[in-house]
Amino acid sequence: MDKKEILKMILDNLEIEDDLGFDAELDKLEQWDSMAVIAFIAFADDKFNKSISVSNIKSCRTIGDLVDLLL
Amino acid sequence: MNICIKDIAYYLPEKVLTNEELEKEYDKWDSEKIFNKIGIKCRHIASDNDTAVDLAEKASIQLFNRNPDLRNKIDFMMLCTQSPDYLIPTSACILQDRLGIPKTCGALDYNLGCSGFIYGLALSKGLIATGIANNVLLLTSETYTKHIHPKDMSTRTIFGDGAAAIWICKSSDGGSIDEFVLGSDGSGAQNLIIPSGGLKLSRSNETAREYVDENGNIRSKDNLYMNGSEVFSFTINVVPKLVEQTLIKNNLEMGDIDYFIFHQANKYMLDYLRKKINIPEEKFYLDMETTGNTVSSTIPIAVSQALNKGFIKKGSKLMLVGFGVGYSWGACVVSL
Repeated sequence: MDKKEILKMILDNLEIEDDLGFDAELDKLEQWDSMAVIAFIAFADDKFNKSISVSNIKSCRTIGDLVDLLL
Repeated sequence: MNICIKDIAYYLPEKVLTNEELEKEYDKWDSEKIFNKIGIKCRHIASDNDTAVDLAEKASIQLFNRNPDLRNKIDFMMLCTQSPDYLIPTSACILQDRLGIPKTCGALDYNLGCSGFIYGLALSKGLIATGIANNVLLLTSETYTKHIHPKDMSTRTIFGDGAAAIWICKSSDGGSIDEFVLGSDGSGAQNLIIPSGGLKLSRSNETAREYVDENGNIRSKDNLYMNGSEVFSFTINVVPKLVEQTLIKNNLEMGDIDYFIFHQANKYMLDYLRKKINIPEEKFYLDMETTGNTVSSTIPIAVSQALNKGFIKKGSKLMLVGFGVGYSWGACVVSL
């Protein structure tokens, strides 16, 4: 699975319809709330079998950083 | 003769906080959004005058009304609560007196939350198996709402107050409490906590100072704090393995369990766990619509409600799974 595919999956998971790029900043996104962090943990676990810590997620600045966590 | 759960009664305070009332207080939320995310429509709130001890007393009286000979037979009682009347003395002793239970009864409090009912079953089974007791009154009772800041939506939407009273004894009616798997991880202590009010940090003007968190929720160190993402992460890590280990310990397979009753924390978490563990919907209890998360009482209340609704019956083999604050977790298999 390449980075672009993962990006698309993350945008779907966050219910973002805009075609955002890797450098989209998380704290500027309305959808990136406390529920979104939980949804991302679930997503990483379910689709990638990865247990990602909350602190790793919180240290992400952009959507690209989230993608990197899943590689 | 097997040690079994003989009967369960529960009590929910009269006053109710609905999603509509929360919606009025807090712009960003709407009732439908609250319900869809967490599966709760209303939660019961203990009155200012009622403590967890009062709720436990009311649940006990219901249990005694259904079992008139029980009161005088109780030789051990334990109260699971994190909201005792006092640090000293033991609230269970106070309840012994108020309920008119014989003075020959042993009594203690134990401090656990979401895993509390499972631990209570384990302790009760041990006491009866060793002949230390014959009829145990297990009480779970919680008033988390008294610790929650009115402007903290992360917790106010979720928790409700309530109590359960459970009779555990030996019986030859086919019921049993089988094998347990328990676990603890104190590294998660700070993720579900009331920071002040214990001996570590006394309450003061300093601890009462309110702060706004990154999500816009307001609380002080005197209030309950829950880090939802950390608790979710812990749960999805621990619970699937817990279920697997509990099956192994009981020499069973998934198909042997008639019904799974998990601690009713919130709908999102339970939905995720059910799918991850592959439990069919019809074998999985999910209903906290009218109770909210009542902490240590969610499982006994759920067992009682599932029986009333006909989802389970006498002879059903259940897996009960508790997990949360501590972190602490436990699961067991019981036959009703």
